[in-house]
Amino acid sequence: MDEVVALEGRRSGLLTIGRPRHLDWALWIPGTVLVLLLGACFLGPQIFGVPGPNVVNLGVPHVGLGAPGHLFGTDELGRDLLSRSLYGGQTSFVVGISSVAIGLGLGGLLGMVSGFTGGWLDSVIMRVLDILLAFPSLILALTVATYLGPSERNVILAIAFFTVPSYARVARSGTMQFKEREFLLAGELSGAGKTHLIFRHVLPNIWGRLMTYGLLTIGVAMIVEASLSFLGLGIRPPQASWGAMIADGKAYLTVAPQMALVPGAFLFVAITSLNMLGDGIRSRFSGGELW
Amino acid sequence: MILGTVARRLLHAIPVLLGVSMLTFVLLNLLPGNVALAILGPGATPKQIRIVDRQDGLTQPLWDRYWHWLTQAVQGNLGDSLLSHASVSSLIGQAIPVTLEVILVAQIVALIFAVTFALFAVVIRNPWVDRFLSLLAFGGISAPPFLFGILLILIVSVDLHWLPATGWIPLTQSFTGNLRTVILPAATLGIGEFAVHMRILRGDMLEQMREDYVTTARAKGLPRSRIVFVHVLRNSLFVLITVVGVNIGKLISGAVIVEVLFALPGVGNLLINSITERDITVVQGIVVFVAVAFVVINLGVDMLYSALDPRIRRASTDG
Amino acid sequence: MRRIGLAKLSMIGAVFALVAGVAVATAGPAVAAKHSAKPKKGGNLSIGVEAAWTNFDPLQQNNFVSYDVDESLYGSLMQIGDGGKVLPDLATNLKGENGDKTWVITLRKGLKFQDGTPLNAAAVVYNLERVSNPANDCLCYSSVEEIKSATASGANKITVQLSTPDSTFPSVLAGPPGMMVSPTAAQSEGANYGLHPVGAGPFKLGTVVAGNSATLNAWSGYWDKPEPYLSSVTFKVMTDANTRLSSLQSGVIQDDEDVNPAQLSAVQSNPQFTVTDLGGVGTNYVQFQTQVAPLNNVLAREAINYATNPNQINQALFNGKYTTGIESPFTPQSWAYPGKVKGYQTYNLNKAKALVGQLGGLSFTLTIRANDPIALSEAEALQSQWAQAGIHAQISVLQNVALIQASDKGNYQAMLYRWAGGYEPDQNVFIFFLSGSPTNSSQVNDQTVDAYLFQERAATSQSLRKKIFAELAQQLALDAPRDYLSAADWWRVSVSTLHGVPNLANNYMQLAGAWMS
Repeated sequence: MDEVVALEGRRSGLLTIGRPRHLDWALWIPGTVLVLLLGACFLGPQIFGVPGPNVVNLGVPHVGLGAPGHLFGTDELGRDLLSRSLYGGQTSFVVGISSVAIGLGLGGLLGMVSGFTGGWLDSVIMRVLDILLAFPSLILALTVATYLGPSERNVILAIAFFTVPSYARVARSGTMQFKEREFLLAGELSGAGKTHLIFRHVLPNIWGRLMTYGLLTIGVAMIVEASLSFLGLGIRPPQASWGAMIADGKAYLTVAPQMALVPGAFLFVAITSLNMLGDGIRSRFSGGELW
Repeated sequence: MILGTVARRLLHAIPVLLGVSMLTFVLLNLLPGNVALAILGPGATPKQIRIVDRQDGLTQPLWDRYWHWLTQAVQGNLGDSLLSHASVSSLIGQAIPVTLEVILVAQIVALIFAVTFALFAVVIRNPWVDRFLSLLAFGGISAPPFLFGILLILIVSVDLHWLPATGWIPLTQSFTGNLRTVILPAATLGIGEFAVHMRILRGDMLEQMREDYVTTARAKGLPRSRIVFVHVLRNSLFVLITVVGVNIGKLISGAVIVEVLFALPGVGNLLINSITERDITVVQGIVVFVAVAFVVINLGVDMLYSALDPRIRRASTDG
Repeated sequence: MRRIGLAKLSMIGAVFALVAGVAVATAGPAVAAKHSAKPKKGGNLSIGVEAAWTNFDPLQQNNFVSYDVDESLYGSLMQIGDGGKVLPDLATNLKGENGDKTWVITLRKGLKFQDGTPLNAAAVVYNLERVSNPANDCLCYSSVEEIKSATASGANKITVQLSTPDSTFPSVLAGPPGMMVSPTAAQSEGANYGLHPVGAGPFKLGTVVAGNSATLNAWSGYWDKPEPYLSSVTFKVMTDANTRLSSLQSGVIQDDEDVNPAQLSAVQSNPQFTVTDLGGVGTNYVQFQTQVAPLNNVLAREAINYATNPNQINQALFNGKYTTGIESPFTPQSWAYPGKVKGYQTYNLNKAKALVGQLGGLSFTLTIRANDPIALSEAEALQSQWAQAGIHAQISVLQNVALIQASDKGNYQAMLYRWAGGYEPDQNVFIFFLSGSPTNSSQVNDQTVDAYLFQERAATSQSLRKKIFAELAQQLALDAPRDYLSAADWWRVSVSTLHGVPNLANNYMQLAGAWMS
């Protein structure tokens, strides 16, 4: 989270690499890669007819890359690494996207209410969020994940919990800006309810900003998931996720480096594409009213 | 005015610190298992567990324990480890130089590389160099620290046998030994930092190049390289200072992973071990220590920033 | 405990682990190193160990690592060598009288602690009273509970009265109760003694990084001159087997106390390293909670055993290095080994399927320790083998303390476990299967088993005891509280330049005579 927080609030120009003429490839290349990757993870297992991700075959442990029937080799239990990477990708994407969605929903709402209402409520909400923000996200995620125990749902909750404050901040600062605008004042005068104002006027105006930010955060959430798995607090085995697979592979680095490297490559490509796409979108709108 | 800001920021930090310590305390006490089991091991009788609990004061109500901890903590006494009975401050004191050294070396190396690459890109103005650096930056930001660390171990330690894969030799014991053990962890932690710094520095420098003073300087016939090195770089460095400050949280998270991966006796490893062994006082101490450090560093960075760059003084951020 | 399901030993475990391992001991501290070359002075030895110690007080030794570290700080009154033979250390003689109800310790003359306090009969009495005083909560208490009194019967003679005859008392004095602390230091430090230990062993405590490393420096006043040869010894905590091995290969440590068998071949073929087989009298197994559904049904437990193919797991995950074919708590390394056990559910997929059919399906949760990649692989392999018989197992991962709690409270269904084992067969069964024992995690409640356990303890001849153990094994096979996977073999790997580390029956790492070439 922290990195994104760092970037948030800086002037947009700082983040722009390349001139406007580069915008198109900056969107299309990562976008295409991401769509291909998502397609491969969610549809690939059926299309390619790979073995199940948890199918153990103790007869073929640690098969290297390019082996017949196992394009990316196998792990210590003879499970197909391509299959596990594709299914693991599903987990990683699901965890990344749902934790961001939950965090965005809760944080966005809190931020809008806080920014729109102002006064003591704003102060209280922001102080509480400060408590969560004042903290290296991994450390509290660690405690929460330890408490909840390893499972996909709990990992999502642990990560979502700590994305709330940063979304709230983004939503709040956006809300404050629009609150100043005349049409809101006019709306308030005409007697429209607060809920109506927030959802009809504020939300559409900060929507783009929240979504862009969310896109960037999915990558971060996926890294946090991988980090939790790496520390033994991820999903429940034998379910695969890229992070959990890398963590498993760490124990076999010398005998079967492919166990860590194959999912590592998937994770790396996915997050790079997500970051490039998010940044591309942000650059594209940087001239407009979004930033 | 600056003193007033400092005082206000510190006042704001107090409820934050209280909240953070309370949250940790409650969460940790909710975790299954306790430190007595870590000490006694399996098969301990309920009586034995009770004795250890009593020795550690774990039989008292939760809020009494928190209040006791808090009254001691505000006097600077973070208590003793429930597990080893060593004082928490001495444990943190032992671990902090390791973490600090790794973070500092990572940060310095990242800055050196970031400035070099960004300068190169701005001076050369070649689209292919730009694209390459852009990709490099995205890659650096996108690589989870442990992934890069695993790659380094695989290549540098396992294949080439150049550097040890794990362990720590303190600076006080041997300079070269220390250097050999700090390189891989610092590189692992530094790659992401390097990428962030380079992107921001390069972007800001390009923006500066469009500013009036650059145009004037060019009109005067100053060479581009001189403008970049002398004027633009100096102005852009201010931006970096903030980023360094805001990134402290990320660095600490990264340090936890790196310390676990390379088995370094730093704060991160101490924290993880204390969580798994339910050594609540140690976790509490680290959490509060990190939170205070976080507040102080950010405050310092903000002060430094506004002191250095008059343009920023007016435009304060929200929250 | 060496790479064990639970990293810490219980207090009872602590006692029994004393005599764990196979006795191929070559030397006590008084005996010269087995290598013919003349020992060289100097050198710093770093040892990678798998767990951290609590502190350095013998009262609070809770795992194998604390034994290893404290052995260098304190030495002990006696040592257990080859075949369980009692060897002298701080004491020169130990004699049982009055049908082993009275024991007379003869102390070496002129001993001193590292703070100058004389180690005399009074100091030994102080120590024995310290460990056996229930108020001090020694984790070793169950082994010293039997001490009724200890009195100095001369400057160097101590008479110990036991409440019951016990022929295994020498092994007690080879463990934590035999590690003598300086009475001066213990009295002045009080509760902090564990942080500032003073013993009479070959090494003194130097710098400690809590939970990470402890450096011990050679003590020039050690009684057995010219030992110790090494200038310093550093114990480094590295919980991950892979970390230890890569640290050994990159020279960060010179000795890895527990190697993953899957990686053994890599070091065995390298002349730079020496592999020592520390044997295996303990077992790796899945323990069942026999009082909780669905595994309170013996047919369910039998089905799981029939569905388990230990040999396949051993070949695939451990290069076949473990000893398989285990069907009882005793391994081929133990004199009580009964071989194949009549009635034990050896791998038979068809029988497993039939039983599962009879039960109408079977699903349960297998609990393992977090951050143990080997246990995870084993669990996933078991899961897939059981699935072939239609048994559905879910894997649950718990952190160590939570795992201990679950095990103690019987709050689990099945748990992957490793018991390092005892040299004395009793130590593998009595505390685990006696009804109501706090370590009876399977909650076996079988009067026939209890009867065998008491018979075995009362019997005096080894042949008779072996017969009782065999009958016990058969009775246990009927109860099926465990699914045996293999013997708990373990291996130490050190650089070939390290010499003079004896292989003691209790597997303590004794470094007084160790030297580096």
